[in-house]
Amino acid sequence: MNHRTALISPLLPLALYGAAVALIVCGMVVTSHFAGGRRKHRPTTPPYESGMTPTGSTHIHLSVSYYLVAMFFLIFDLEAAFIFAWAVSLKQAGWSAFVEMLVFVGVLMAGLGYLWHEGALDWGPSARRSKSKPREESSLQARGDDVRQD
Amino acid sequence: MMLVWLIGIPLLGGVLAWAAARVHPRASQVLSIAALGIDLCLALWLRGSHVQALTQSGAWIAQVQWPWIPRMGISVHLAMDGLSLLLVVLTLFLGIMSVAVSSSDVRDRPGFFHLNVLWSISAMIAVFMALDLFLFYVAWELMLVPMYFIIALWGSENRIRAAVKFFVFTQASSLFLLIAILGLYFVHGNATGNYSFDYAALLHTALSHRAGVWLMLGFFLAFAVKLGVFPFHGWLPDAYGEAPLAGSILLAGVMAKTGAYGLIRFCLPLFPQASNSFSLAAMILGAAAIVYGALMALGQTDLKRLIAYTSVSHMGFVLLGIYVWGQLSLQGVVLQMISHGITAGALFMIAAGLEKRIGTRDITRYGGLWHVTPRLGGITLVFALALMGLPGLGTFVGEVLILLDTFRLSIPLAVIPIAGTVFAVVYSLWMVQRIFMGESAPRPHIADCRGRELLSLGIMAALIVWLGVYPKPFLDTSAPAVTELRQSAPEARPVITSPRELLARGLP
Amino acid sequence: MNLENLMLLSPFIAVALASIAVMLAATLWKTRFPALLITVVGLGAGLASTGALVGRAPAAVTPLLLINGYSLYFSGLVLACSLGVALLSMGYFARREQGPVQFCLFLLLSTLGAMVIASSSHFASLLLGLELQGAGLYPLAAYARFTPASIEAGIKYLVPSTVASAFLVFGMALVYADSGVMDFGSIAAIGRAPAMSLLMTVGLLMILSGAAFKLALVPFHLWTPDVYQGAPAPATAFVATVSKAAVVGLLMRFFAPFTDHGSNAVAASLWALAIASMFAGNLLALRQENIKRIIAYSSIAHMGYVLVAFLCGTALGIVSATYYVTAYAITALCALAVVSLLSHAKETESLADIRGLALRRPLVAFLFAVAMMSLAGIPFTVGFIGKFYVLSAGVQSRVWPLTFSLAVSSAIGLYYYLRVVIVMYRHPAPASEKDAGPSAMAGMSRPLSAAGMIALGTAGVLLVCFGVYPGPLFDFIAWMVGS
Repeated sequence: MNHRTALISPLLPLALYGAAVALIVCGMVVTSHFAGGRRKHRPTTPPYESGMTPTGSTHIHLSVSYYLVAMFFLIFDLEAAFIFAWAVSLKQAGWSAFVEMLVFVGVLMAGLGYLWHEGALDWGPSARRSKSKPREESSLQARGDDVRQD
Repeated sequence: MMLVWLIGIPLLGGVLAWAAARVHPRASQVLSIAALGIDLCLALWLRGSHVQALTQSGAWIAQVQWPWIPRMGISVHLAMDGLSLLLVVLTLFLGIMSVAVSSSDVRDRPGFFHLNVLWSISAMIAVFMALDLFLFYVAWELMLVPMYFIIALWGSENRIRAAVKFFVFTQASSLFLLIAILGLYFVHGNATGNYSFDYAALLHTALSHRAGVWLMLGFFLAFAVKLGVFPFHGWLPDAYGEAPLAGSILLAGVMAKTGAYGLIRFCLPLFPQASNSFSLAAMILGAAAIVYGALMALGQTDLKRLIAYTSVSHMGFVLLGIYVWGQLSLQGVVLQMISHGITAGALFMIAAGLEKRIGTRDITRYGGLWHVTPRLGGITLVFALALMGLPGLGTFVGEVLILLDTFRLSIPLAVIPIAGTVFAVVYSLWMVQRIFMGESAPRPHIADCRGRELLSLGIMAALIVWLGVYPKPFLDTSAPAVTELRQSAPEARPVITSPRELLARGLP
Repeated sequence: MNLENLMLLSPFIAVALASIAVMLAATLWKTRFPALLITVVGLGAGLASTGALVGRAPAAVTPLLLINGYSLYFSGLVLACSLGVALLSMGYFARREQGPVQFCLFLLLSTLGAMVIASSSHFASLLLGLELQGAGLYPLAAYARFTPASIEAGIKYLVPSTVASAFLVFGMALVYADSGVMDFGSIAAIGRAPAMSLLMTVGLLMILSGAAFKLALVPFHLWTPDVYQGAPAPATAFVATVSKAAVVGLLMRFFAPFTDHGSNAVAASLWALAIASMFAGNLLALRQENIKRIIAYSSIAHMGYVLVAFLCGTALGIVSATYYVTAYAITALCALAVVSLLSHAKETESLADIRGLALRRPLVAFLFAVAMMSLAGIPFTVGFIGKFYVLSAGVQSRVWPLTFSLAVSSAIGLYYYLRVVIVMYRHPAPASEKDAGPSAMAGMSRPLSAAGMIALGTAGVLLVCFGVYPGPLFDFIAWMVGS
């Protein structure tokens, strides 16, 4: 019994809050359904694009390189955050931290070198075509050309 | 050390035979027979050189023990007494016979075939000599694997299904044996502080009634499945029927005996009280198996399945005799096992010979063969008479000894098997009649048996007569072992004096 | 971070350094061989340094990792299995256009993650290890990315695995919310207390479901057959050995305090998982025609057997479970090594592909048959000894429902192991049916890779050695794990 009350008491406000949220949202939807006016004209259905009439398909394909760039940015940006934290406390952390940071940056460099060698940084189509591995690259290339829309 | 050689020679011989098959298929067969022959000589020499030991009750003929997994109290403990010796000799004898006669139907991979036959023989010998329960279980399981290959690779049409059924049935039951062994091990270890799988140590474990009954049932299940006792015999006709000749001989002649041996050596002595309270049920099962097997044999048209069901019937006698647990009945069980091994082996050889000649195992398509193959017919008649237990043949002595002791225990229990033997007369004589008498279907010329076939069948016929006329050497060999076993577990002997009390006690 | 700690971390450092070296080697040399060599050397060095640490007093390296006999044993097991997989991949990729560099990289990272899991003593390190191991595994499963099956395997592993991780993290959060601790020692103390709060129970169950997913216990097993089938054979071997061993190590270390008294919800769930896995795994394997799928379902059942020993809650139970995992890892490695060795352009994986194998390659067929016998628990194989120890733990603790479930389900399992064995020893299908698979037949006459044969041979020898004379290994495990 003790356990149950101990458990319920902190959760009770949360539950009440959730119920209130659900009630209000439902209320808003139901009220607008009954109180709001409805129009069914042609211009109300298409998506709004700054006054322009939309063209082309809504399913836009982006080049794979786009995701690569995004991922590399995320990875290397995160490393920068670590280095920043170390940099502001350089003196307190001392030499051992310096060595550790060297190791860290070394690992990062190795990774960068590897990516470079793999051709992950060659974003232009021409640079990739000159790479050696024929089978993999050609099929990747074909897929890349396929999906590029612009 | 002799005992290790007894197991090791077939193992080595198997490898040699496998290698020799690359040179010439015949060489592999000759090598196998040689290895088994040497082994047989070794076993007989053990018998001869230890006559002294046999006369002193309870003395083992030979014994070896090395530690194996000391932490769990497991050791390699092999020992041999008269009972083991007789069964080992039977195994080797039937092994030689099965290798000798099965050359013609093993054209495919003869080396691998002989490897499997010899290894399964080696494992069966180990089963008969292991006195450490863990070692016993290992050997018990290992004898299945080569036999599985023998059935599945060289059997007849439905071989794979039969082999899998055989393996799954026996392995499932033996897992319960393993659990029961472990249960006994821990009960004994917890009580005494001596954790050991050794037979001698476990022999007088004090068990509560409930624990005893459960553990005993674990043992009984595994042994009963191997023996082909009536409700657990589902795999048996398929396996016996589909196996190649050597497989059938070893299955019926030896492997079924491992179940009986397990009951005699382990199940009753280890759990005397529990066995006592179970014995009535077991004896009824045995008596039922005698009648059931005989009736089923009457309805078979496949010759090999017919022989398989007669095995069920004969193993019913064995089960009955074991649970009567008297000096006479156990001696009878030993004789029954040996003579059944020889009879069943010979009948399977005859069945294989007929199948080769006529091209079918369907008994309804035989008929009128006596004119063409009189020698084969004569020998078949001898074994058919052995099957029904004619005086002067081995099975008669075994059955009479079992029934005598049963009679002293309870008259109704002895009457049912006698009714079963009446059916035995019918199926065995009818079998001969359907094969050799009557109208002869038009068929091309058939050769009578001669050469190797005649020699091996003749030896077996001579043996079965010897067993029937002068069984004393066999009985003398097993007597000390049987006495010792009975003395170690006198409580296992059931006491049923009259039918009235039988009814009053009710079924356990 | 003093020298002592660096010493204790040396196995981790060796593997981490190897992964960096693989990247550098890939930029410096064009050939594929250095990457494989570095991987093998790195894993070997990790194994050697693990061996050098044996016998030291247990020590906590930061609050995150606890290096003791137990963690060292499982790290060593993980490293040894990983070494086997690396050797297999040498032969496997020699026959393919696709390079092995990234495979080695992911293999090393995933191994590192598995080692962290086995040594973790804190939620943070556990999560780190699990994610590192998982992140390496997804691309390993999808490595043959020009075959749809492999891509499917990768996705099928990735998506549920992420969900499982979410459950795990949520469970950790609930446990932390209730107790305010995240290290295993304090949680174990809560586990030994007589009663547990509801929040704690829910949290622990969520953690359990995450672990159960990684072990593919029923009902968290749905990904298993497709991943095993689609992944390249060495990757399958990795999933079957390394990832299982590490998670079993974690499971036993983390949940052991909760199995002492079987009345709580965690122990009851573990019982249910064990029984369901044993039966479902064996029953579902019955109708399979694909060797990798058979091994997948059998792995489900085998993890159920491990749980049986673990649930005994005794010292013998833990040692038996560890022995069983070791036995299973050796056996699975042996079996999948055969699949990997026989595979060429197309994976050799259906039962029809190996029909008549014993006539063409007697040694390989024999080893595969022995591996199947070991999975089935036939004497003189390590699998039998493992099952014997598991059963003895079960009988000793009198957990009869689990013990009998094990006996019955493993008898069911015999059926499909025997099928695989007998197919190899039959004659090849007659020529009229053979026209579908000329490539399969052609692959049978190729020479096999030496490195792969070394891995297979070692696994096979260990399988028989520990099956015939298991005493020393059992004593070693008892000494390592018992501490």
